[in-house]
Amino acid sequence: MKHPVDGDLALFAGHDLNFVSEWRVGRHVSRCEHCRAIVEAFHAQQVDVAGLSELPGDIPWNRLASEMKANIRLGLAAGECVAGPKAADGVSLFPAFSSFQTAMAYAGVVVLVIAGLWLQRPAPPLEQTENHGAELAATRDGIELSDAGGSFGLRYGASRDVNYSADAKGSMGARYVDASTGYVTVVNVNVE
Amino acid sequence: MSGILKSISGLTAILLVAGSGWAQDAPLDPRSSVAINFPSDSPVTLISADMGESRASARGGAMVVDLHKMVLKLRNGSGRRIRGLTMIVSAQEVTPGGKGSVAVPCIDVAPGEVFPLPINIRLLRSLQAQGGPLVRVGLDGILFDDFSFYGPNLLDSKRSMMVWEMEAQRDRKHFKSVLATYGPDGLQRLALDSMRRQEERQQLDVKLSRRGRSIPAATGGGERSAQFAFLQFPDSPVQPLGGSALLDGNEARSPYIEVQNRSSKPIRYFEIGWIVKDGQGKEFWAASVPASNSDLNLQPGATAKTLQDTASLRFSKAPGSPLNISGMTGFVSQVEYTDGKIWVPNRASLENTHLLRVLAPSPEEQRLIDLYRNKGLHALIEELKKY
Repeated sequence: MKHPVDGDLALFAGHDLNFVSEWRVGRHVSRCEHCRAIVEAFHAQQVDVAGLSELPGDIPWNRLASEMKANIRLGLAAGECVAGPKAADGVSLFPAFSSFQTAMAYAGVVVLVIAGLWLQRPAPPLEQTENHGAELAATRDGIELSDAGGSFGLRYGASRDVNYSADAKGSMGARYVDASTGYVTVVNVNVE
Repeated sequence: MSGILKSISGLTAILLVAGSGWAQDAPLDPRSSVAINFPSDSPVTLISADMGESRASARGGAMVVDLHKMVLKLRNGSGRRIRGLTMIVSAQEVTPGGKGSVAVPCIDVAPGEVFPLPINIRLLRSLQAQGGPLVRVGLDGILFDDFSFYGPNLLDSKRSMMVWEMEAQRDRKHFKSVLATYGPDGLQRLALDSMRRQEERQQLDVKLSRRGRSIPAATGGGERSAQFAFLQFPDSPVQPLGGSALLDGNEARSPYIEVQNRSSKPIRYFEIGWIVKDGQGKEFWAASVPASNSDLNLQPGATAKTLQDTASLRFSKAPGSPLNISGMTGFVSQVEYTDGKIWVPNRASLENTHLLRVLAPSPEEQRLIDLYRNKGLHALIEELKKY
């Protein structure tokens, strides 16, 4: 015969098992002398413990109350120190951050925005300048402007023969024959 | 507390709007996006504007306004033939890349004629720019066949268009002279020779930094001062006396060139062409260096120098292939007298000094050769007969 474990027998003695377990353990206890003895022992202990819950009559309630009040005041004072300054009307200056969940929500928004900016940032220029001044480049592909970490192609729909020119003043130009009109077209872009 | 919350929510809203703007790419509405203005007394009037495939898209903190295949139809309302026209195209005045110009030199528009002006340019505009149209298109100048000029001339377009017109007259005269002397076969050889030169001419990639020296200069072994060698043109009103520039690998900056007015008339402006040479002795067109200011009064015999506060330039033969500058050559490329007359090098000077192999063709030579390439020798001859 397989006997229930002592834990189940203890719960059975206090009627703390669920309906099915109560029926199953009770059925076994009714047939098993050994387990019935254990259950009766648990029951007797419960009666003894119930007697211990009675409070003695000589407890110094007034002294205990004074100590509890002192501890509560100490806790409140410590809480004020942690919470920081208060406004004149006694309301905290940062009630929106008074709860941990609110602070975490704001932090989440900030992280999301920063991540978005980082992922969408313009491509860095190939070469940097000492003071991050704007830079114009004329290459076979067109005119490109770079400025402070970003670069933008200033290419345009030109025909095959494009002549690029640079001016030491700070401008660049492209000259080509427009296919639709046959006109020579001169486009100039200034770095400043 | 409420102030802080408002600030945070405001910042979040701005960032979210900016973020959504990255994905915008919208065609331009000609009525609300582009303002085209001509002065009330302008000899040229706007007939229509076709925006073509123009679009605006947001990138980073800026908006890229791409005027693509935009065409303005204009009417010459004056009694003179128009030889050149320059328009200012501005998305934002103070933004680098926010303003540019589109010019059509070497045109021949009769009085009353309607003619197209193609505009293909990309400009930048700050996303924070307030109100108004995205792009403003306005007139900077018109040059007529009698060299009279109309317009505000904010971009010094009068001088540019007069130089182009002088070069056009010079090159048309040369083409017509070859046609008269050697016939159509001679003109064809001239056109083919010009096409071959342009195919052989290698353009440098040039990077121009307006403020501050670029770092690092590729293949640089320390900055040094190098002297210019000068090409002398017998008929030039200005004679270069000497000059130098600071070189570091493929970077050149602070060109200093002194010239003397050897003509009998005062000079308002001059410009020096700048050629650089690589280690194998191959020459490349680099840049033009303007006079110290655009309104000199250089008396006969007096000396002047070029602009000192220049951008630094870096040269590469191809991406990742910097040009190690081993020498520099300068020449006088244009002079403007105080009476408005323009001098440019003549054709013989260009041929004698082999500059034709280094320089880009003039706008007129470029146009005539394009005409020959697309429509043949007969069309080129007919075009020359018009002048």
